[in-house]
Amino acid sequence: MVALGCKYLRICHLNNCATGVATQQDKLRKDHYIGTVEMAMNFFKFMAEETREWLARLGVRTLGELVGRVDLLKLLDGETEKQQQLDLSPIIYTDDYLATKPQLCSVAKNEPFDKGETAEAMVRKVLPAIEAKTGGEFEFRITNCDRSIGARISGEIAKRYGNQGMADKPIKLKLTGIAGQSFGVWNAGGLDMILEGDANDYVGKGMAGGKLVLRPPRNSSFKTNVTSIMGNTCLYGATGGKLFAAGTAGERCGVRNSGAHVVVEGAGDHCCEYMTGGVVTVLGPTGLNFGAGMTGGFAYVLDEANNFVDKYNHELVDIHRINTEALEAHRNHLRGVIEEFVRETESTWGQYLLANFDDMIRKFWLVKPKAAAISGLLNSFRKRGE
Amino acid sequence: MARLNNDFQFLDVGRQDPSKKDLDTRKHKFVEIYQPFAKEEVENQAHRCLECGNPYCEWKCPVHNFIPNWLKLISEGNIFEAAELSHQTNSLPEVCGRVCPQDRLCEGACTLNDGFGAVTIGNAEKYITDTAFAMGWKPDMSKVVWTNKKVAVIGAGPAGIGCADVLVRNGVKPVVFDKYPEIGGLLTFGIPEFKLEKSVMSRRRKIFEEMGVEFRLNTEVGKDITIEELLRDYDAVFMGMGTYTYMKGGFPGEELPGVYDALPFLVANVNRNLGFEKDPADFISVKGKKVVVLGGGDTAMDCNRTSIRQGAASVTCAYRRDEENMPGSKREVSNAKEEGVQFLYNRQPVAIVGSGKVEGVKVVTTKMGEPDAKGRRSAVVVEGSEEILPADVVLIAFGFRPSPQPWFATNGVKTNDWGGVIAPEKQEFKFQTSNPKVFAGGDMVRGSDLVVTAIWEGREAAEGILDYLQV
Ligand SMILES: Cc1cc2nc3c(=O)[nH]c(=O)nc-3n(C[C@H](O)[C@H](O)[C@H](O)COP(=O)(O)OP(=O)(O)OC[C@H]3O[C@@H](n4cnc5c(N)ncnc54)[C@H](O)[C@@H]3O)c2cc1C
Ligand code: SF4
Ligand code: SF4
Repeated sequence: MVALGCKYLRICHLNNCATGVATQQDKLRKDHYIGTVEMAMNFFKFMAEETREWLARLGVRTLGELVGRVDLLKLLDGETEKQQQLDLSPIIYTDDYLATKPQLCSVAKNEPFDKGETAEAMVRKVLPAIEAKTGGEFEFRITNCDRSIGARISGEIAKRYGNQGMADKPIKLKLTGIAGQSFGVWNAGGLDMILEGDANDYVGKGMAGGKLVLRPPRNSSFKTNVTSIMGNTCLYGATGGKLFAAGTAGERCGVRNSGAHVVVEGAGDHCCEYMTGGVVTVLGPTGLNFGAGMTGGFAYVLDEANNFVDKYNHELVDIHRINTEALEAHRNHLRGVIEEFVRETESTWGQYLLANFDDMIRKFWLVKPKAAAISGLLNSFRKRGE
Repeated sequence: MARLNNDFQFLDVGRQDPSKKDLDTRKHKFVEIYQPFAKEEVENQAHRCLECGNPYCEWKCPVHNFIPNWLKLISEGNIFEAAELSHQTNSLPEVCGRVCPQDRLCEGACTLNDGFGAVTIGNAEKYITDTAFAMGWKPDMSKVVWTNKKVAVIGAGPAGIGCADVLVRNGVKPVVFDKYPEIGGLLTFGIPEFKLEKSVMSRRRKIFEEMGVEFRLNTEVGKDITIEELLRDYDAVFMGMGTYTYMKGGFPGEELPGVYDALPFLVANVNRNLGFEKDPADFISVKGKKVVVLGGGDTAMDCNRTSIRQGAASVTCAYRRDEENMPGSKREVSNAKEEGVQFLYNRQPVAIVGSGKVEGVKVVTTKMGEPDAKGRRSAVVVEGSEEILPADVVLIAFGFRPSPQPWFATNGVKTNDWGGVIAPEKQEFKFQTSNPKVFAGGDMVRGSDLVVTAIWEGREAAEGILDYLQV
């Protein structure tokens, strides 16, 4: 970060970084950020170069050859009295016996239990449609032993056409069952997955595009707005795409989200933590500490019990009613969001909200970073195409 | 007023210097040109500080002031705490706030100087102490335990004052000798009132005296009292005697009537203003005259602006390099321009001409030559560029060299090849000279430099003396 202009101000948590490195403030990012990709490249190039110079001075060719070479280390006296009292000699101790022992890990790698067979089988079926760039619809059954479902396919798409390369001709997977961890991780634009069932932690982690839809099995009698449908830490670090879940999410939903749009029917603690972009819509109660460290994007929260004020973290965000004249644009936006959610999930709760929209809208909050102006919120994501 | 709490103050509120007095006053009166900050202004300005994790301002400041910390105290309205903190690192904060070249020091290094406008550190520093004094604040000496040691300090300039301040706060009695009738050294007899009004130093003198510093003024060491007496009667001696040998241009005509060295001109002016003038003939008047000032540093700027105030017909400042390379504070150069000084850059004086008295200065124009083998460029004379700048008075401000006294050598105090006293900072007892009982700092050790660096050396030398005396 120093290579990109960071001056070590240590005010990263305040969103006012004067070098534009650690802030969502538009002006600071636009006018005061000096970093370029080349600067980071140069930094790593020089670091590697310097490492090589040191290796050459030590007379070795690789870093591996240095492991265990305590004979090359010398103890310094220590600059302060306290340092001088440290006895570091055990750290660089060796003897004839130790010298006969291997210095590098010599056991075979710890192979994962999950061989990813379902994911590989899926890739085999879908690959022709990717290579021909035609898109297409496929059906699979998955179980909770199948982790990171979708990642292999996203990888094949992104490798060939880039992150959003097949967004206009998507591969559509209709899945039934229970998804293991990291369903839809790194999802690419061009992969839509509709899961009938439920999912574990990390749904949509690092997601870049495409669409993930989660809904309960047909004929199930669950009331979606009080039943969990996915686990913790969903959308961790997501940068784009959409996630519609007809059920509630666990803790930390949307943590570090910087561009994805999500609709859920309820959320646990720490929702929108460190969020810097995107839109989170919660159609029901949330847990505590909502919006901690949130410096970008915004959220809609339905607060029927009228206690959200005690739940959100007041440090960086503020909340506003949407049923006022001034927020008409947001009211329309929210209605559109719920309509899309209902189209994708057929959620009964979503339909109820639409049917009673005029009544329910009074119970929604708009949550936004204090530093962002309300007037710019909708524009900012339209501009960035989020 | 509610306490300020805006992380984006540095964006929402721009840098704002205190306003200057009107030009007419500035051109005629020997008074400071800046209005004091109002309480609300200074709080709003101080609150712009980002409290950088690695405060560049503080590293750059030669005395390493706790800048972000006292800026915070100001924005919260805690003036006494700010004054206490400010005095932990600086003996004359209200002076440094006025005369430091902040654009090259603290403010130049401020993170916000990159595209936002630096925090107004200097003016905030001045505000703290001026306001605290006005509110009756005094340095807290209640916890000082007096030792039976005493130290003679030669010179009541910034270095001597810095040294005495640290000594007295550690219970060692300083007795300060100066040949002038008032304390301050160049602060009083050098730097003109439009940068630093003399009431600042007389107020300081009272404060220091109440703290237990004794001043023996009008007393020249080597004449009115000998160094041997000081060495006999005191546990240690600190020398902060400045640099008082005037550098010459080395060109013909420097001896013509109407050519003056900068310092006598400035000091005569101060003496008249302060009533210290012994003989009216000592005063050098440039009223109604065409003045040419040679040089480009702080001293040259002060000659320029003093001449304006005396009512010179014209004031021209000729400097041998370009504006970018002027050594003095940029702020003072622009103040001089505002007040009507004409600047000529890349002019090298080659002679002062006139029959029986000055009539002009012959200069040539220089430009940067082609780089040599090592890539260095030096100035070359533009052919046929000789011209004569008409002048009735020429003021020479080429700088100062040390003035080693004969009694240095006889007491084992060694000097180096340019006359500076040898007293390195990095040794067992900081700033000790080759005579173990004698310490030295400020201009006479480092060559003429700045008020704040002289204060630093005086304070550090006091630490050396305390170690030497084992207190
Ligand atoms: C015209 C001018 C303008 C300047 N402007 C600025 C400025 O804007 N900002 C800045 O930071 N710096 C400025 N400087 C530089 C600054 O004033 C000096 O660097 C600083 O004062 C040096 O402090 P000092 O204590 O070492 O010496 P001085 O201030 O020179 O003090 C030395 C003292 O020792 C006394 N003394 C000497 N010999 C004896 C003796 N034998 N017996 C008794 N007393 C003796 C002298 O009378 C004098 O009072 C300026 C200098 C000049 C000349
Ligand atoms: S002493 Fe000088 S450099 Fe240091 S903070 Fe004050 S004005 Fe800036
Ligand atoms: S460098 Fe500037 S912003 Fe940073 S701490 Fe110093 S005064 Fe404040």
